[in-house]
Amino acid sequence: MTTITLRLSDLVIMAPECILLLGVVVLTLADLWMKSSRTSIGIGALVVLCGALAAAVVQLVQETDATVLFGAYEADAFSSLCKIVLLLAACGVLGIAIGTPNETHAVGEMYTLYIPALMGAMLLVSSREWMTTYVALELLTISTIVLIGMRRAAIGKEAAMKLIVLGGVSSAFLLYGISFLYGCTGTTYYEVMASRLDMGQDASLITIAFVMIVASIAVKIALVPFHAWALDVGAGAVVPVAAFLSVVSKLAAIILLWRVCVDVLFPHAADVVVDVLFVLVCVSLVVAHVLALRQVTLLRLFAVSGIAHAALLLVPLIASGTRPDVDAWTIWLYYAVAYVLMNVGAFAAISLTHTTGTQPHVHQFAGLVYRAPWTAVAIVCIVLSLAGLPVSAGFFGKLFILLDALSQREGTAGIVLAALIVVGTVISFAYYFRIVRQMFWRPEGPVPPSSVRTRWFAQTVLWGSALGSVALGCAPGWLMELLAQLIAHTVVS
Amino acid sequence: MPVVFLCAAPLVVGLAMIACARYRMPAMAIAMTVMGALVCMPLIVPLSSASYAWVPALGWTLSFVVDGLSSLFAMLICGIGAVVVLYTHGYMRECPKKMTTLYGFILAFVGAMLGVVFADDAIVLFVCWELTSVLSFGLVAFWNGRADARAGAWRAIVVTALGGIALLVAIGVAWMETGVWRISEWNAAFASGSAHHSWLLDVALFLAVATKSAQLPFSRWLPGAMAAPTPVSAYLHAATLVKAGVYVLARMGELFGGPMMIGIVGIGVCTAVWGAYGAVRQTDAKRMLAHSTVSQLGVLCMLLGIGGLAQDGGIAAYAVAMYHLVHHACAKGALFMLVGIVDHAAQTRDVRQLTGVFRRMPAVGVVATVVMAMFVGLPFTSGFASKESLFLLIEAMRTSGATIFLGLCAVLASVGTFVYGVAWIVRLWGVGGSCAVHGDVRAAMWIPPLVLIAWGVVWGVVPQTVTSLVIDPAVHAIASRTFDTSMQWSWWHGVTWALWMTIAVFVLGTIGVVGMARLRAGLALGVRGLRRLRAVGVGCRRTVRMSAARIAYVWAHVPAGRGAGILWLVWVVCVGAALVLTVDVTQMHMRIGDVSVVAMIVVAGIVCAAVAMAVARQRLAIVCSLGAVGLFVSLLYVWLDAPDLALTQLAVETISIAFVLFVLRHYKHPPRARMSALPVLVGVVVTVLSAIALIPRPKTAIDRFTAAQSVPAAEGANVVNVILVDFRGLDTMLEIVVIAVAACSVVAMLRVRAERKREHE
Repeated sequence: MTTITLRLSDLVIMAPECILLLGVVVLTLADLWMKSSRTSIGIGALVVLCGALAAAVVQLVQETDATVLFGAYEADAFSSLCKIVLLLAACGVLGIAIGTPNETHAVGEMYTLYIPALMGAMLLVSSREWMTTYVALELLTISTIVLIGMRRAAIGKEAAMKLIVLGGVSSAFLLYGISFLYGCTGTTYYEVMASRLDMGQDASLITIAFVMIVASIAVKIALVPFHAWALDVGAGAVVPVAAFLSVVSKLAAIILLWRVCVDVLFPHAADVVVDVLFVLVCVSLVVAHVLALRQVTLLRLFAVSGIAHAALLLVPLIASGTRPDVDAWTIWLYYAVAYVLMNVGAFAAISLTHTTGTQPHVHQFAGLVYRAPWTAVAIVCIVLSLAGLPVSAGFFGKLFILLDALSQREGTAGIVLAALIVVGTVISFAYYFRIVRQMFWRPEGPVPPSSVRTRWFAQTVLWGSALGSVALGCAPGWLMELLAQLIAHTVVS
Repeated sequence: MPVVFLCAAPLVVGLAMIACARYRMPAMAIAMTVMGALVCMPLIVPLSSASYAWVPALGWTLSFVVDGLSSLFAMLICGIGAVVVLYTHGYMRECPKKMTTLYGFILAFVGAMLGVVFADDAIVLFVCWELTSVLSFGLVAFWNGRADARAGAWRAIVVTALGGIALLVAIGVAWMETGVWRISEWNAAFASGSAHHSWLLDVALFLAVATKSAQLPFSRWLPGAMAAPTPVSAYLHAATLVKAGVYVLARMGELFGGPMMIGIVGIGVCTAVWGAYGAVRQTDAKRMLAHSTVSQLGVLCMLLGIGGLAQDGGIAAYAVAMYHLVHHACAKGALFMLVGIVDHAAQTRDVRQLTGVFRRMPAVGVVATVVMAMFVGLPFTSGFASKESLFLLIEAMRTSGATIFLGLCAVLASVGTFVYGVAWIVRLWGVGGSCAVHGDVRAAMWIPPLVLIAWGVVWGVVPQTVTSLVIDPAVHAIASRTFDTSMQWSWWHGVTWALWMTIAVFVLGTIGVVGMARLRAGLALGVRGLRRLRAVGVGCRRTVRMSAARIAYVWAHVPAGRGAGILWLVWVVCVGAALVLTVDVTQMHMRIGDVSVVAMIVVAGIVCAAVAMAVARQRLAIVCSLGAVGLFVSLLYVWLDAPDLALTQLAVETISIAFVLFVLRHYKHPPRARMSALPVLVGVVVTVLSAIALIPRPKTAIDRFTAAQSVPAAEGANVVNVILVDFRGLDTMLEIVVIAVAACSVVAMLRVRAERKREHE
């Protein structure tokens, strides 16, 4: 009988997660003794994230490539890169959260709970085994549910309830699919499972399992037609939590889908899975853009536009068909970085111009140029990136994906994808430029009362993402080459 | 490097000025310095094509091409730009606060536009092309307090952004065809036949050209953009921005297939006539000029199309096109500026209120008359040469129905130009009218138009020198080969068809001017007919918009709960399909011999309770029926001799029902009763699945192990219980631990709540 041992060296491999775990314990305890100011808890959480970020960067630089617990957890260059992206996004979210007027019951938890949720997301990235994956996914989902439900307004409770019901059902379906695969192979490890699956013998079981798994992850990503929860939940959460949902949770679920597809699904039923994903992506691209046209509530707008971006992030996967090459991974990572920059920036903008006690609305940007010109400049940069106009990270990200779809996927499928991306981009101009229009033109209705509040953390996040978007737009080659270089040996091997 | 500097310097300075617009600065001096540097630099440092690494992985380079074509455009951009900067100073003197912003936008636009004409890499071209669209949005919406400015800017950005996307598509297709990003290499590849034309490339590229250069049916944004300040109109909408489409047509001529070239000629000629027609109808001077720009852009597209179709390389057509381009940019720029002067003095642009205004400002009137003479092409002006050479070109073409149509349309467009131009001048010199004129005309406003019409003078004095210096290199670049014979200019070509066409223009034009009022009335009659057509279009658009709104509304309001339903639907489809495909129905047989009456009654009870739950309207009734189902199931266990299971079932059922009732107490909305097919489908699939589970199958190893080891290893006859507490006892214990932890936290929460209640009291 093999004994399972966890050595100290294994903990070093899991350093980013371990730092987060330690941090959340310390912060939760510290919260018990603190009476007045909770901002320090937020700053503490930020410090913890920076520590984990440093650990992830060190792992990336040292080219750590090791597994823990018989390969249930793997730390390689790609997962380190993904973790860095997730950590940066979470830092941005915390930056938005610090200084936000408290709309929740809890105080310290509204900062500390991001950490276990992020830990779940990071474990998802590294997990190579179904049970680890499942636990990580639940850690992410449940922490997010609590974050949403802490909001004082009834709309927050309703949103949390909806996520509990839908998250629960989708988790059940995921387990259902996994159980079939376990039944066929007797293992939960991706690699072993992939080698033991036999399409000749259990074709129908495996296909059901694959479709169930893809469908339940699609619920987490909120692809159409599994998107029903995303709008209400996005609108029910407070702004930083909505940002977390739209960036960290979504990216983690997309990474999970990529990982699962490449490791388990594609070697056996690539055609079926790619066809299913192709339909999901196409429908999402069309429906999300059309839906977004009607939204004037900002959180709903960004919840819907997030669906379209998520669909874009899946294009390199289905374009490659079987096994994505280094280019596909690089393009994915580039757009993921661009997505983090522009969405975190957008939520920072929403948070900065938002009047407490109301739902964020497009009108809050009215005449911003005259109230806070510099903030308006930063927001314009971010909107350019969101809409995919040059010179911005979003433009090149979208262009790379478009070219990838055209060059990788032969025949009509590639052209359909490219056409949908182009048409969707044109539609998206309409709703993204509504924000710019509001900013530049003097308000016709009631004038928003306050100018932008000075909140240094949120301002920093806004400017960081705006400048980052522009910088990546000016020198896209630099990041692309860096990413390609870093992940080359991981992905090829 | 000089090329990069040329493009980047104004862009950077302009953006910096926009960003720092709130600080006081000598905006005019800065802008003048930059423009002066741009004009002078090529004289000092010769420009040359250059290429720098950008994204080597994708083969993108920052490459720039300096040849006759780009130099000609750059000359126009910098030269007219410098003049416009001066004019802006006079125009904006009443509003110094916004001056810096306007200069910033103009400078940034100069940079972007230079980028468009110098770019050799398609991506660089696209980026600059989009930049010009965005900046022109800012310039048109400059008076953003005015609703018409906002609407005009909006329409302009929507149309040109569409064109930008089309350009991107065209770039993508050309790249797929050739594998490179350099426009010069594309031209070579398409010319040599190693790359093939496709309809997608043709259509996309044409869309880009047509939207930017306001060809039919995309011409409506240009009159709408007249809400911009007049210097902006003079610069963007006469000289530069709208010529970007023409530039791309000239630069990428090889990429168009033959049929598309015919289409371009056709659309160009239609646009020329349509624009002239629109201009005759207008009473607002700026909108009239905008329509006339549409018309002239149509002529330019037509000329380039003829050049592309010509067997001999199209040198004559290209030369006329380039000549007409320069002529139009200068004359139209000057006209816009003069309209701006009149507008400033008389506070209106409506020609009906401006009768006799030139009698009060005769100097301006004389200059305007000269420019207009140049523009409508009276003899011994540059416009005459331009029109004459167009007619000669058409005459030289092979005689056919199409050529005659082309000639007729060209005459018609020229007649239109003559009518609106001369009628405007005559009206403004007219007798009577009570238009008051305020203030004097500033030097900064009257010098620029004079500089622009100096072109006509210079060309009139040394036509061949100008041609060989400016026009010929551009034509070389378009035709991508050199030639010896330069375009020859002369005022008299003998009695040819071209002469008769010119005479026809003057005769018909004079009749038109005399009968202007009747002409307008006749046109209005035509318009009424068209309006009826338009009503149909509006109706269609409204229907589409309403239905789209309806669909979007329904989709946006899908209740979140239905998301779970969709998952169930997926499940039903997958599992149902697998069942249908794999299960052999003949194998399924249930033993129903030993079913007693009691069991039948219990099962009937379950069914009744389930149906009651499905049809119940009240929440309490639903929950009670659910509880009844559970109770009947536990009865079934009792009948099957499993009292422990029955007890467990009873306990779970009681607790969960109590829990649901507890939650429902707080739930105020009435339930939405909805029967749908989905639960029925799920029920069917589950039933079939349980039936399959009952199919006898050979025992597996784990069955045999537990059955055999149950008594000897764990001393228990009930295999299920043995599995729970012995074989997998550790799992059970951990589950209990989890429940205990959950219970602890519940207790803690209840205590917190009780404490809070006490505090409250």
